[in-house]
Amino acid sequence: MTDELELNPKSAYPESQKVHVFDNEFMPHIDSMYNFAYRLTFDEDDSKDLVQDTYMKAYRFINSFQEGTNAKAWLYRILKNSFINDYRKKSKQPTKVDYQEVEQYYNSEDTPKDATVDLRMETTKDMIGDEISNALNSLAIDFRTVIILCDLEGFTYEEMAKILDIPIGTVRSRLHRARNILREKLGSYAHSMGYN
Amino acid sequence: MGILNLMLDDEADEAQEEFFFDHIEKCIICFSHYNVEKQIRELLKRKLQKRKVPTELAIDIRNKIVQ
Repeated sequence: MTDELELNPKSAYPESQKVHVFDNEFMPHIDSMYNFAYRLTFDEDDSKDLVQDTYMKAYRFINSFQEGTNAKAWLYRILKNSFINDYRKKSKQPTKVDYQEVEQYYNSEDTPKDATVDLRMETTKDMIGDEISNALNSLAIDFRTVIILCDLEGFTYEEMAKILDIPIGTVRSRLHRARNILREKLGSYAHSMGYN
Repeated sequence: MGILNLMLDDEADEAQEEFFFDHIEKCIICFSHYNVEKQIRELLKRKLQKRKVPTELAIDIRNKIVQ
């Protein structure tokens, strides 16, 4: 990531302009970045460090950013890579789901048709934030990330492909697998509460 | 099912959208699947806690870059 940023300068901002770009293009996204960091690390201090590292990198490599392009996607990409490279290894949170195992299990893009009966509309409306949050947090990081990017932040397939550095086809299949798992988790919760 | 996923992700084009809405009028499985998925998406947006970045962090970051 860092090498790539250094190799691709798109702009040459004078010093005063750098701060202007930073304030106007990067700072407005800081709440989103903090939320993303928290959903990856589950820890306030780690989230602060991760956001700070992201913004420091964004400033250091600001010439790789072209004003008026998608700053939010660029920042997400930096944060995601910082997380993978620097934080994932020391993360206090053990990996709850083995990605390979899950990927093999859900190796079809098609959703099993009977999966829809696991969860009905009338059960989801009674769910509270904690249950939703626990279900999302229990997803493997790769799956959690696509749900956050698509459903919470509204990124397109193309933007997600750039942020995650994977082909659009992989974005799609990963997203749909993530949705299947999330629905199942919410479905088992609904079931445990006596629904269905 | 492919189009259903595109619809959920707001990535379907006009023709796909038209096909989809026509289809779910006749297919109860896709209709209920679509509604459940939409509902989950709404829940995620509405019920997940949104944290504000700690003010001192934003100030620290800003101070570091102008140093």
